[in-house]
Amino acid sequence: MAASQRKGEVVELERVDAAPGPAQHQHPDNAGFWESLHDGHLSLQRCGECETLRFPIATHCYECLSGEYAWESIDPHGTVDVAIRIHEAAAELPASGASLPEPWRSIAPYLTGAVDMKAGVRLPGRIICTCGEALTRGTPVRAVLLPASGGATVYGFAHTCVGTEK
Amino acid sequence: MKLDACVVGVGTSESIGRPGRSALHLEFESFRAALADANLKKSDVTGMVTNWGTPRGVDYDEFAVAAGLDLTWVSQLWTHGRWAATAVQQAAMAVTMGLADVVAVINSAVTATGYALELPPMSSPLGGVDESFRDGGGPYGNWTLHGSPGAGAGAALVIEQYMDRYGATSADMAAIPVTMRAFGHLNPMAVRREEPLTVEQYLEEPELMGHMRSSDMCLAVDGATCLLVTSTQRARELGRPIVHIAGMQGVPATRNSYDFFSRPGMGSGVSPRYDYVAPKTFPVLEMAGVGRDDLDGFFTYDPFSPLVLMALERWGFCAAGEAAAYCRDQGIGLDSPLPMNTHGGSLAEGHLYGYGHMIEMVRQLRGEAGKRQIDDAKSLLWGTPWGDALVLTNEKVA
Repeated sequence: MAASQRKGEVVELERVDAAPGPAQHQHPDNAGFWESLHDGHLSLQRCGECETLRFPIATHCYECLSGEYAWESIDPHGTVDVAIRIHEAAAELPASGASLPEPWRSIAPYLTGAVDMKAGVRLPGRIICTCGEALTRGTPVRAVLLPASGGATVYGFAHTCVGTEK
Repeated sequence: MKLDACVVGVGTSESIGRPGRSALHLEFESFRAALADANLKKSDVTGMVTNWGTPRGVDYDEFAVAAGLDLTWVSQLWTHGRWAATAVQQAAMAVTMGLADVVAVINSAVTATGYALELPPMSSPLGGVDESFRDGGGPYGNWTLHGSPGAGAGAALVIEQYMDRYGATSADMAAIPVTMRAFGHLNPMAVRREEPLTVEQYLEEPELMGHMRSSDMCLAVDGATCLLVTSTQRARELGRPIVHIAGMQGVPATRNSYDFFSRPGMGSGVSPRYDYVAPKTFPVLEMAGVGRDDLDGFFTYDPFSPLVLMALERWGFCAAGEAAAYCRDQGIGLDSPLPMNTHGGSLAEGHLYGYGHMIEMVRQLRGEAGKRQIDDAKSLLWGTPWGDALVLTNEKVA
């Protein structure tokens, strides 16, 4: 079945240690994304008919509505589109639609935002950076593997101040 | 068929934000208050639009049974500021089409720190499901998975983009919470009516999410609202000042309106980044027969301060990137070119999902806003950053 085909040069992601965030609920129609992370790379869907690379994950193409697609490993490099610090004081917000659920409440402070990928899509993600440079738009970062609760793996981003790829 | 609908009654729960009453209790209070305001009996009400509260409210059928209503038309959405105008629009369409004579637009909510503590535990303060765990993320470009849970993080991402792109500062944005608080001091229902706020105090608050501080974030409150909508002919029989629902514009849904807290062009979430130029007019204004310069006030959904900037630019009151300086220099108070959210908005009154704003618009157009009154108010706009809108007018508009 086309939906399970894999295309593209597989780029292995570096695993970076960090406090585990939550894990995504997986179901058969989104499993390809999470399986590729489990295998160590970041893949998105490319339409089998019009070849649009898409995000967010969806069963059909937003351009041509085709249900044919392949998971394609993408270049993990990009630049920060937007990043914010979730400050430690945010952990004190009373429970509401704006407060921090666990585990984020215990993890704060941390950085999160969105990254413009070389592949041409913008991806949301936590950003691991100890020097603070990644708060500046345009800063180069790379997708990495981060631990999530229950032993799961999610992707995030790391600045050059973190990990082995300097 | 021409739109023919008026708001003839408004009411809230007896207090906003005082815990201890269930959602049903609060909803009865707002319904009774609106009926009394309109000189109507419960048997006059034959339609209802309700939102299911966050995290707990009252379903339409629960209320119809509890209040002994006899309804010919109902609709139910879920509770979000996104649906406040749409709920009023549904009521307006229902009375225009004759599906119901008088429609109650009714909403109640109890919060995770209020009466929801008396209810069975829920997995999140929003209820059973955290929508930002959807495969496509949350509606504010927020992703719990990635550490941007909830609406506040979404607003913080947008204002970060805005400040970076246009050079706006927290000192500029301060005008929004400070003005809302000043209006709140004039609103006896406002939850923050006794809490002072100066620009200096605001800037001393620690940043919580990005550049957003505590006073940039509304308080979730236990409360209920009700607006009664009927035809113009029926409204004239009731002996109350007429407030027309004169123009309407719906919620757009495109990949470009992916983020509900951003105006177009900001590049939030998956949406494109470009130079947004607001149209010279909008369908909602054309339907109402008023120009943008004719408006006497502007009401917008403000759970977080940045949304005021987004709305001013979305609707063309300021050019892209100029709203922050406008708020700082011209202001948004009664003495400004365009008074906004004169009841104190969600930021000072408490979070009533936008219905508090619509009740205030009705009071303004009746001349019942007391010290908050906009001189000679004739036409008011509700418009959100994502693009839905209402124009309300009174009989002074030709």
